[in-house]
Amino acid sequence: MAQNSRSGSLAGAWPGLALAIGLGGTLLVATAGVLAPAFGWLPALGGTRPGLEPFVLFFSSPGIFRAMGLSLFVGLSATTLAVLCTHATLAACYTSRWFAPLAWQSRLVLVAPHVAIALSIAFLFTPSGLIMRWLSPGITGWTSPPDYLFPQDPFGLALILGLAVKEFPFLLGLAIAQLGQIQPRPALHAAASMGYGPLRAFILVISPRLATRLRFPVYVALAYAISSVDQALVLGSASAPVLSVRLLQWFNDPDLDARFPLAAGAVVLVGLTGIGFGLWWLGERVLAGFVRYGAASGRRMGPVDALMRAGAGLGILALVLTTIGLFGLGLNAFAAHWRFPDDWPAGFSPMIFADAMKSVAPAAGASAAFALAAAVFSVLWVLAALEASQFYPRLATTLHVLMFVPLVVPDISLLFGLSGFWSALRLDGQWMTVLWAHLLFTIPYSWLILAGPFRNFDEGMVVSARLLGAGRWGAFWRVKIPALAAPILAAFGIAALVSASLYLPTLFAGGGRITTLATESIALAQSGDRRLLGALALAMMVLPLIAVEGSALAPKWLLRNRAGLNGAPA
Amino acid sequence: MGVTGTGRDVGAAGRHAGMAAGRVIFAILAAIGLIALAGCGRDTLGPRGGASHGSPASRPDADWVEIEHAARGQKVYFNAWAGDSRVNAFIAWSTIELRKRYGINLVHVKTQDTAEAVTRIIAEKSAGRDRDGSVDLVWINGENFAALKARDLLFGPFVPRLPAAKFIDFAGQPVFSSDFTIPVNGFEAPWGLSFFVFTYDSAAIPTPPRNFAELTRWVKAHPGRFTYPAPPDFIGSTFLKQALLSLSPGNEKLFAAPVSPAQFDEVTAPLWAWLDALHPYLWRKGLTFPPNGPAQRQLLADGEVDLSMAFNPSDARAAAASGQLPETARSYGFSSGSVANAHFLAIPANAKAKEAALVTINFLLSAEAQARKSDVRLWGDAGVLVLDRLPEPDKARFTALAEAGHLASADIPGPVLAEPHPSWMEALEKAWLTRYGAK
Repeated sequence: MAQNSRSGSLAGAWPGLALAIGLGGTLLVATAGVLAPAFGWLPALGGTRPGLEPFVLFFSSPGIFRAMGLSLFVGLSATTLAVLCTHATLAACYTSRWFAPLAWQSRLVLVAPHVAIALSIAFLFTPSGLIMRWLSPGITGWTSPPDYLFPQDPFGLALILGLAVKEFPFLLGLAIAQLGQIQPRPALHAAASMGYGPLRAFILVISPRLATRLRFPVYVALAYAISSVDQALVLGSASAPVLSVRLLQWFNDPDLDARFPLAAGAVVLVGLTGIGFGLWWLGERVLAGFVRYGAASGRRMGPVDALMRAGAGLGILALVLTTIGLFGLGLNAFAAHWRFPDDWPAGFSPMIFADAMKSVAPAAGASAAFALAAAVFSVLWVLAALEASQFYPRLATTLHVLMFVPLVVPDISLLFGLSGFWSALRLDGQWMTVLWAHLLFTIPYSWLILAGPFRNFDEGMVVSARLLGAGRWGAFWRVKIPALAAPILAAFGIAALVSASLYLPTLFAGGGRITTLATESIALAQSGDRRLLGALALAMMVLPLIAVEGSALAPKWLLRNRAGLNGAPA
Repeated sequence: MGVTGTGRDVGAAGRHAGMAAGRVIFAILAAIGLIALAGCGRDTLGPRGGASHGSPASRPDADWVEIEHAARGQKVYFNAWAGDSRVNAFIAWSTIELRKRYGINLVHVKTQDTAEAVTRIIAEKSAGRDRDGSVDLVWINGENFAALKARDLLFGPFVPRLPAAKFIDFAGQPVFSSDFTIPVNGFEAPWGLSFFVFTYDSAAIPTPPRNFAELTRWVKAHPGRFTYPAPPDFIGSTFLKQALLSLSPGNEKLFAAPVSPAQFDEVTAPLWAWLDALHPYLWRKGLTFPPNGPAQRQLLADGEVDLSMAFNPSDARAAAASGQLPETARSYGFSSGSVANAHFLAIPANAKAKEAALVTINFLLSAEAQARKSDVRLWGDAGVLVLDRLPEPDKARFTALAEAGHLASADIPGPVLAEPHPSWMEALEKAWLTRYGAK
């Protein structure tokens, strides 16, 4: 046996090796595809003299420093808001009876793709939007919409709001899962018995531990916020865009020489994300100092309580409003007429909905197909790779490190690097290439969800099954897989959710020829036929909802006869 | 792998079971991958992939039956501006009909701006992709046509080969042969005819401005109620052109020739002065602009502005028919003149499915498709055919629409302003972006 293992060395780990090679290879190609043109090498466009010219072009283009500053400002503000709201909401509500409905509500926003959230916020806050319709003419006295610039304001405030509203439920969901492990109640009770108010107790005792456990997801959220494209296209300023949108504009520029500053900009964006990480780290230190000071001061109450209450209120209000906006937007899909300042549509027409659905159907079908394929493929591959690499620590570590890259490197930088490769090999516009691009993001998420449970799985259960006479396969299918069913299905749901919300990967790999709900809604967001947008928003909500709720409910049904796994008392 | 039953080896057996499971899962993955690759290979490398040297499209003597035969089963990537849901619905209808009648798989590649397709074609050319390109058919005119034609990136001349060509009104419409002053020479087929109109709600403003002097006064009297789509959107650019042609009259010869930088500054000075004075009174104080024409139509529907603009005289009727605008909406041309032009269909030189692209164009020029496109309830874009030349049943489609009041009109109720040379549009867009664009 031992001999067998050694002679087989890495051969037994080949699903893991294949994943490492596939992912590592993709990342290498992407890196080369960005770095070569960034330093002037792109023979197809006459770039044969390596140098720093592209960077000179990039830094000399008008308004570029403002765009860089705006990206950083937007990313840091949105993430700060989301993190503060997460801690504040948990501090204020964790022990209250409002907590369960709140957690459910946050899931609803969590499953909505970024684009849907952006469209909802735009419909809520635009001068002729839902809020103004409800306030007018009754409260405001206006019969025609006011003239203010929000969303698409030049300071990125609407974009900050959109990103924060999306990141808040993401962090909240992860925090709730972590709290299950921290078991905060005894500590909170102890603090309460010493006379600390519940909010202050949570911040001093629980928040620091929670923050440590949430560190990686927060960096993922921060990287996303600094480089977001899809929300920025809907909520950001068109005349003073963030850096990622400037890069996309260069990508679409008919003048192909724009590819050189674009490549340099893609490198700069990676650096900018690094700067963002550095600033975040510093901010965390400062904040930790304040918390320590607060703890040492021994005060039992303080202004922090009010701040936390405000943060919780703000977060909950944002979640509720966003949900209302989503349904309000969806209502447009049925509305025959709905004009400012009417509170509700003047009439409903099933014809309009039928027409809208007809034009949305092909994109919805494509989205569903990609979500299903990406979820099945990534979960199976990750399972195989985890199983195969568990006795090869170096391979497991390599895989673990590789998985982090697509989550913290701006996607536009990676995808620009790949797009040259795809189009040179004429792979762009192919179904398989889009799936490839989706896997680049769904596999890391599946890995993150499955790696922990897989590592913690008690291999003794398989051993016991074998001792009781089960065959190799019997043990695997009837013991290991059911024991891991919940994380496997969760990974499946999240992978489908991630795939359904991918805009840039679909755009770059699909060469504009493959349309999903995400690309279609961005395209239509610009031309603004709100009835069609409403139908799109509904379709975008329904698909992920099925995937995520289905994957949460499925284990209960599948494991209904297995006490101890289905949550029922053993 | 031997199965060992001894207790000492159970741990190893468990490990092996795991590895074996991994292998089986991976085998399933590999099988899925292979099947998918095979499918994808069929798409790219199959026998009908690409126009080989003997393909009917590449032989000018090939007859139409041969072309239709070769077109069957081909996939046509139709790059068409997708900013208007009615246009998209029309293309969706064409997709169904083409599959049913000719076995052609039409795929609408939805562009925000036709320049995207032009970029793609030029990028493919510079990468040496001379055949099997990713664009088979493109909805085009003006500077985009000029850019491709100047680089020899268009297939043709193909228009004379189309059976439908004999019904096109070349004699009556000079813009079908001269696109923004560039000779068409059969490298693009006219698909529709438009002129520039403003749309408003007659219940909200009874007397809209009818020339640029009136517009200036009106905008200053109603701050925040007017805007225009941000160039280089084609509606926004056309608004600039119409303003330029009206504010700098008597320069027709100059505008018909390629622009020279020195003249550009001189001739466009009144335009920029006018815009500088106007912008503070615009919607959002001119700090931002709607991205395209339909977006501005939505602003009109939402009551945020009082005027929108379109390249379609039936804009108001069509929008009222769909319920987006009230029944009281009207479209009209300026008494000082309206820019008029045609829009076309073209095939890139490196297109993969040239035969199917030809059959698609011929179908889109058929009386049935043209009548459907002219129906203001569906799209409302004026057609290109001479109705008197059509056989009776085809002609009846149009007369029935006209009698019901649903036919889009091609009559221009005022003076026509000829499109300037495309280089003017490019220069105008560049100058606008420098002055008012992304900072």
